[in-house]
Amino acid sequence: MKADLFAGISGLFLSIVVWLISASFPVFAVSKAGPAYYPRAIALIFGLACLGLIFQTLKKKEAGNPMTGYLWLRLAVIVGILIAYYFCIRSLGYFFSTFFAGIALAMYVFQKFTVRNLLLSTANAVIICVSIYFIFTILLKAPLPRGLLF
Amino acid sequence: MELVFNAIITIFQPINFSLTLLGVLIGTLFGAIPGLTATLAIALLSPLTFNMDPISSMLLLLGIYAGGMYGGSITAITIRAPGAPANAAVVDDGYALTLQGKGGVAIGISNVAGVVGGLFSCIAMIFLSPLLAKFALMFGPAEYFSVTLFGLTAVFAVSGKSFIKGVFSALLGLLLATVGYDPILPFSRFNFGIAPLSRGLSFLPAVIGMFAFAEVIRLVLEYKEEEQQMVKVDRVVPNLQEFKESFRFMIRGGIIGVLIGILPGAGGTIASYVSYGDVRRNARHPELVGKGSLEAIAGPESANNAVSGGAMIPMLTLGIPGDSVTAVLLGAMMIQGIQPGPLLFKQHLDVVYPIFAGMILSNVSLLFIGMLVVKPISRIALIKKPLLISFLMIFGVIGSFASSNSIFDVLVAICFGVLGFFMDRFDFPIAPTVLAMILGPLLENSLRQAMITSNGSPLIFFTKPISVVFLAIALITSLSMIYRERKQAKPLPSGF
Repeated sequence: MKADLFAGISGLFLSIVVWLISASFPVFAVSKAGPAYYPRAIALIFGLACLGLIFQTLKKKEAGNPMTGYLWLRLAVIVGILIAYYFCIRSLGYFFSTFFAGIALAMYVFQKFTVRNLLLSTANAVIICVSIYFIFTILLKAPLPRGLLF
Repeated sequence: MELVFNAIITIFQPINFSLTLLGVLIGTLFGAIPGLTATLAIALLSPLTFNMDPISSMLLLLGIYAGGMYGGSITAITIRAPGAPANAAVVDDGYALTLQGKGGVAIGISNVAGVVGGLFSCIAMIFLSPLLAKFALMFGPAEYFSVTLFGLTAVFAVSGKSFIKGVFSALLGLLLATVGYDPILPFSRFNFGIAPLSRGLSFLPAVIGMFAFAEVIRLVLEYKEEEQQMVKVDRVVPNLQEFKESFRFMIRGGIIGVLIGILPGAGGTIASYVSYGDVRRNARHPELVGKGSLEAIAGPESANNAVSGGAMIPMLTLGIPGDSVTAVLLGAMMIQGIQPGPLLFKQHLDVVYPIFAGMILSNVSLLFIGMLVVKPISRIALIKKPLLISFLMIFGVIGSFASSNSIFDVLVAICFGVLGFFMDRFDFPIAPTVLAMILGPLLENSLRQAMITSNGSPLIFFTKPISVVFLAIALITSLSMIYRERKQAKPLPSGF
């Protein structure tokens, strides 16, 4: 399967990177088990496991990738919404970004732009925003992300 | 005796009592929504507990744990949609009973069985934990390394369809756990010049990402607009005859659940299927199993709930979680400053006893809350999925921020969400990664301490009897999994 092969190759690459980076770690005078010892040992075993995964995948030669183009597109949109929410919350703060992210995601999932769906999404976003504010700020005295717009 | 008395007073303080009930209610709600699990509920709600007293926070989380294990059976019985994989064993019989107009009784039996199994596992936990903790006091770094390695091996050996993918997931978790400060020297590894990475990848945002965000992505990708039918639920409380008919399997399920729960990796799904097999073989009316047998509801549900107490035993006594729920619980405990392990039983019995008492209270209150909320919860399937997805995303973002008031942790959670989604999509088990992330520091610490003690000789792991035994078990577990896969035997269902 393509995904397994990709995972195997990426993992192998990661283990090589970990091995190389840990070469620059300081040496421990008391024992050879310094800061590089454990990551290198894990990277070595991980590399071998990745080779095993690659070998197994090539041997089985199973076809098929459960991700279609449409699913990739939806994945890109949802991850895009999450990342946009992250940047908004960083700069604008909790209320504004949470309210709009809540509506945007719900409307995207509904797939149909109707007034009913919009009202449902808006009401849902308001309830979530206020509830989280009440629980965190009023009840638990825990801070929420702050930004330009409160 | 005074400690026991104090523990009882502590859990019945109004705030603690209310939090336990609230936890059971939230857990039942989360458990009942297909796709949402007790692990997800605990991961999402852990940040809420950081400002609480450690005992209060544990009571809330234990309540969620107990409720979450039971909640999934309600929708499994009423609409054939198990809230969690562990509740799938009751789908056939539960739905058949619903079609016969006995769905309410089936849920009632599931509730009573869950409580019996849960209480049974609490008793086992109370008696076995101190013994295991006493035994664990003999452990040095070499023994700890071998036990941790065994725990990790057992998890990846049974948690997926492919052994190599399980190994891949566990090793990926171990590598991710090496980011941040070295456990012995003041040296930060793999931080790539990014300041927040110096303290390592925070566990809770990673778990929120792998469970909540991965679930958000999966729900969005698989969303189809469909109207769920409202199911009418009749009498919920079983009569004496129905209770007597299924009681035998509640006890048998409880024993199976505790034994399987103690084993690392073998969670509720395996326990409930093993118990289902037991019911098929030993039921009074085996011809009814699969077609609406109350015994086939009682056994698996009792086993599923009994896993909780069993899984708590290695978590509390060794600091080694047996599954992803206890891994998240362990993470929450450590943030609260409670370090599970044998010393907890020597130095902090004031924490241990309220945990025991809290587990009992959670299970007892499940009996009442579980019965009361059946009718509202059976309507839960009517909630519009887009609204639920939106709630999960927002709560996930705020939860990951609140874990250490760091906006960087939100980014960590998003990255882990994408990773978790792909792992789940391509059949790489997530549980070994989560467990490896929490066990990684313990494994590294014990390995390096043992190596320092032995002047760098790895022979230390083969000269200590306890260490040798656990290494041998780890090896046998791995080899048997490879053998099973080679023989193309039917793999065990995922425990998470």
